[in-house]
Amino acid sequence: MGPGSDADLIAVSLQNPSAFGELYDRHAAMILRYLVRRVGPTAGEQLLGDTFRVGFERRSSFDPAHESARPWLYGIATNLVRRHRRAEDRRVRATARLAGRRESPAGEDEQAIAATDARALLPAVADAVLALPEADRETLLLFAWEDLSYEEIAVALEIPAGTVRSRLNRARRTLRQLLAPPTRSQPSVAEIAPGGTRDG
Amino acid sequence: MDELDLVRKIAPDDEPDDFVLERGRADLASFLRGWQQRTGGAEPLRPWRMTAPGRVADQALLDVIEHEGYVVLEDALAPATVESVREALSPHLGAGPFGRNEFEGFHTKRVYSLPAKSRAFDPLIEDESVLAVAETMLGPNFLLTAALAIEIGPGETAQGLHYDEAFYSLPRPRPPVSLSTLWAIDDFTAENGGTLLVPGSHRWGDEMPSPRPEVVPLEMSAGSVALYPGTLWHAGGANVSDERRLGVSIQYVVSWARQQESYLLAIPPKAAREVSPRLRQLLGYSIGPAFMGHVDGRHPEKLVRADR
Repeated sequence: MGPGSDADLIAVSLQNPSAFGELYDRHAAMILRYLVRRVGPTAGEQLLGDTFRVGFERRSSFDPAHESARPWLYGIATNLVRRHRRAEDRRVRATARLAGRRESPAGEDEQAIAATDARALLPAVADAVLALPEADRETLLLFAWEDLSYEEIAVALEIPAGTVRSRLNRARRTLRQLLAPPTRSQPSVAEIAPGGTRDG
Repeated sequence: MDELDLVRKIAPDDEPDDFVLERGRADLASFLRGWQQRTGGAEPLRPWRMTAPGRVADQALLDVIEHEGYVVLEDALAPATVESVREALSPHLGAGPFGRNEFEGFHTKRVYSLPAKSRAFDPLIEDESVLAVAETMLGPNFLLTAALAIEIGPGETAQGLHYDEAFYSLPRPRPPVSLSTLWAIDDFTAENGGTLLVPGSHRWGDEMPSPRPEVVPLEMSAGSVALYPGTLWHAGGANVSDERRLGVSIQYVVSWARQQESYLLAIPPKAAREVSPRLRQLLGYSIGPAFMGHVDGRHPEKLVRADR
């Protein structure tokens, strides 16, 4: 672990709280983008402050074996998002609607048709993602939106890497049914919503 | 295009707002300065989760409560005891009404006055570890003031922040006059209504929690108990899970304060004969220094015995 790693910084902040501010400078932009994606700008800004305050209060529980605090901060932010389900529902549905309405690329080749089909699916994708059990949805979004690795998600959510894998597989299987419907009509959310399965 | 591409397409792609980031940085700096001033920079003791220490109040345990405002004792109850508590509550919860106002919760059921209903709750009320902490915190001859079960149902919203002894109109900051304990009969999670605690708020003076204070959801497995002084700000959490969450709140108070529940009416002398002498003391069949609680100049215990 080199000098100036996040772990060093957190260790210094145990005695000298202001050092924790440096951790904000390193990671706040990324955490803010994640929070805004999930709950919108208003709740996102609130939760950004909460994430770093909660992180500070819990900094002695940070595992210094991890050089980067990035997954740990994602974990705190994800926990805080859980109390903002309504904001998240609104946010994701609105984005899907907008993305669905964006102008189609010109042409009628296979690619353009496929792109148009995919856009038409987006509101249903949003519904399906929102209908996933919370644990599966968090895992999926950290992977697909935030590009966290399995190992980083495991650290963030404090679960074994195997559980990350099984949650992702389950979420992707659910969503895949959207892409290969038996007919061209879209499956309804009721058909693709999972049956409330949860990790044990 | 696979399903992950579709999920990526519904991600809002706003760039982080520099102004928001700067404001957040200034807020954090001010929070860190305030924290340093409040605590003198001392690091809170860890761990705040401990195993039940037994008869004597462990100094480390008291230190954690002093620093953090709460402590969780894990595995304080045997699974069989947890189940007997659940069984004893089930007829009352099945029949019982939901709350009457936002504080009680329209999706929440409460069963009050537990020692009048079953002996199954006595191991919780008379838990040695808890009583040792209460004795140290509240002094001798402390009393039981509330014993109720709280079942938070799916869809319940978070309670307003409060502290349990707010109705004793004594200026703050000050030492607590009561000790609250919260026993997990179901696992407490952030999703199912795990109590939201404001760490360190037991030291507050007249401060009120900000609209979005730093709260910690109380997460603990069934059979664990959380202890916190009656001065700590907290709120019942929202239950966004699809299951009910059962907990038992047992609260103790200094010998000179009025109890919330009128136990001498709920458990009159004849019924009091059936409970342990320790529980009788806690209910109020006892004398606080020098003669608080006497009956016609006599110790109330004599009334219990005379009623044979």
